[in-house]
Amino acid sequence: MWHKFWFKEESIAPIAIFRILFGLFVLQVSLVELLPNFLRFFGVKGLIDSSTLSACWWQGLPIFDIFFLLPQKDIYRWAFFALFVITSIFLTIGFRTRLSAICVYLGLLTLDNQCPFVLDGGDDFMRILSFLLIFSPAGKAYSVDRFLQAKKEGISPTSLKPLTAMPWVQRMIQVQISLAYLHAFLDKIIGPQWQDGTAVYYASQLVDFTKFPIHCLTTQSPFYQILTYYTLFAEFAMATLVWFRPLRYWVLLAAIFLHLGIDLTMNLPCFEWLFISAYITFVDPVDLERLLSYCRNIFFSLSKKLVPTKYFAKQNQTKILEPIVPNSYSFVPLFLLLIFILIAGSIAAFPTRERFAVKEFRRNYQLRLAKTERLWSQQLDQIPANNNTEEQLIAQEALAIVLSLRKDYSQAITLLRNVCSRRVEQNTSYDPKLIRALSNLANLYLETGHLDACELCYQTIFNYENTRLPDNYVRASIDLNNLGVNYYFRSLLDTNKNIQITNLLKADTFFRQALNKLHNLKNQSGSQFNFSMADLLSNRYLVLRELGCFKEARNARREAAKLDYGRANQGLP
Amino acid sequence: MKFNHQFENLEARVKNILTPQSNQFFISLFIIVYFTVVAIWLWLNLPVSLKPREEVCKNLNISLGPIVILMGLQQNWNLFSPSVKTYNAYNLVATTFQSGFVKLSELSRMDKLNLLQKTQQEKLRKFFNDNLANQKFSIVNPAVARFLARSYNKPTDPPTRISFFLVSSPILPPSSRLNKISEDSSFTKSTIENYFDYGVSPEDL
Repeated sequence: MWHKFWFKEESIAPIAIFRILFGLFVLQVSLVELLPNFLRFFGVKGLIDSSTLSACWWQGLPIFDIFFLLPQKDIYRWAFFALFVITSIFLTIGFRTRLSAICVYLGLLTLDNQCPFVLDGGDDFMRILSFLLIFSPAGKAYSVDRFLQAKKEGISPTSLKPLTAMPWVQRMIQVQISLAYLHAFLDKIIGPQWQDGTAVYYASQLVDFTKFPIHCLTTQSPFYQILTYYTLFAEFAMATLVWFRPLRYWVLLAAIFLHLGIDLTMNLPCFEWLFISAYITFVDPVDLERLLSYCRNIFFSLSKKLVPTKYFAKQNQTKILEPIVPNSYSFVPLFLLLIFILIAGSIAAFPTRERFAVKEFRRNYQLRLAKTERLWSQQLDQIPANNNTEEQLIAQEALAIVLSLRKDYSQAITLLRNVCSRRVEQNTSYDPKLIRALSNLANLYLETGHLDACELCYQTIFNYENTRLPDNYVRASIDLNNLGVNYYFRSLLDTNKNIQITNLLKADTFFRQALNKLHNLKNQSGSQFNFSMADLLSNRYLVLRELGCFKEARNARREAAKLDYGRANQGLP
Repeated sequence: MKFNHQFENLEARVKNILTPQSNQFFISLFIIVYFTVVAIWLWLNLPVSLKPREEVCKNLNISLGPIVILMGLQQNWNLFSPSVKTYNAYNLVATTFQSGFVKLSELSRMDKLNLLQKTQQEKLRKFFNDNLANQKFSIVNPAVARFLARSYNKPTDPPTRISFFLVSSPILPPSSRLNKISEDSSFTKSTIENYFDYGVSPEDL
């Protein structure tokens, strides 16, 4: 039984076709999803730098990550990525297939380990499949390797038949798929939404995933209940019933419908199609051959109309290549080689990871905050309580900021209010330190959701500066912008749509006034305020978009991008 | 020439040792070990009521974790399970500059993108909307703040503080739709939660 299931020779057509589809998906993920964000995810100064990754995420765990073995420059990472894409193309076309499969596996391991925070089930599945494909004879059919081999033997490539081999890798993919569905089913079955049939309803309401919503099905009872239970059934069937030959194609069809439905309504690029393509390993090679020969016949009958007939006449004279069982002795050395590469790569990366980890521990953020807090508290303690000196005010303000960063808002606000009132008492003609303290206080109110208090602070700053420095356009634009920000926050919290729109309109008015102030300055001093204008425009873009003024929003965004040029070359889109 | 000869000898010896029977034995061993490891890993990743006791989990994680992670076999098939999120959320970042200017930016607002942009930004969505506000990933928040500080840095007016907000709005339950409690289902009360603040230091830039 064991021998028959894993080792009884079968045509390698399914795994060979799966190799092509798999390669295409790897290319899709690399070029569409990873390439536009490459420096954000994998750059030396990317979203998560190597120090945080080493110290906080992987810690002492052994991982294979080529980026730790390369010099820490973006150019080397780009070169690695280019190589990865090339090997993915080689895997797809089946050129040096086994070597390409190893490279793709090691490449995926590196990319996944370098940015583990962006991975979903599709990425896990891809990495696992790339590992299994290394041991498969996937390159022995429908591949450049096979074409070259045939050419060497003097056989026409069009008369090649796929070889037969032990299908154990194909079976492993099948079992892996079933295990994934079993896990997904067990995970879902205990969820209350899956039990009461509302899971599909809630999933369809998640705006992050919306693609082509079919609200008439996903929000109407009993349709969403039926779809919820259908999902559970399809997953259960893929874990169990798919192993019964008479039911297999029906179960696969049910699962394909499930994935196509998800793909139609939800944006989960690659995930659904990767699973659907893996179903090909469940198809009986005889049926697959029949389907392929049917497609081939259609193709040749179409080609005959376009290509001169003498080409096809030649083909008839060529001999048919007899299926040969590929040599599969290479398993143990290949496996040992792979383990050696993984262990050696992991060990070699440890010194670099250690260096990064030390750097991270040195700059530990929470530790830094605790240290700063202690420092300012000590300094404050040394100053007599009744002493109203500048020194004390500075210490109180600094301590308030540290406390707020440590989420002790109430004490921070008390301290800052005290600083502000003392500075007001000093009654100087214009005090920039008072502006700074008030600005910090407004920030804390904004963060804690006290928008009335926040507005009062910003309004006070604006009035104060407007009366004392009426010609200071820079300060005026900052104050107007911050008032706009306050109203934008209000609009997010409003329950009444009319009030929400009123607040958005107010925010837009403030942003426009701030822009006008900066425009005046720009006319006088050239490009000095480009970045500030870009920031203002991007704030206004958010408001215009919420108001539904899409054309104006696009213009604001375009102008902001133009002014921002050269500043955030790897910022966020 | 000599090397080639030696290599051929070695290859022949390996072939002699690895007969089809022994090869199948090693492959069988590999299959058994692979699926045992994967099955245990998946068991450990089941919801609390279905997975083993805490200490068993811990011991298995310690012994299996390094192997699974080294070989990249870690997997978790819990999309939309055990329960689906009942709210929509996105991240809003307020960057305060030295001058007091506040810049707002949204991290991955998927509902405002077209299909191609959604596909291109799917991984950003995964990172920002699924993980960033999650307590489990809070250790990476300073790194993200530093990245944003570098991105938004102005030579004359550097950023001093970066605050992360999670803007979320609940999804109305299907029963409320049925009773027509809300005419406009897309409009529900939002909440804004400030979950992380970062004080930018000059060396971060």
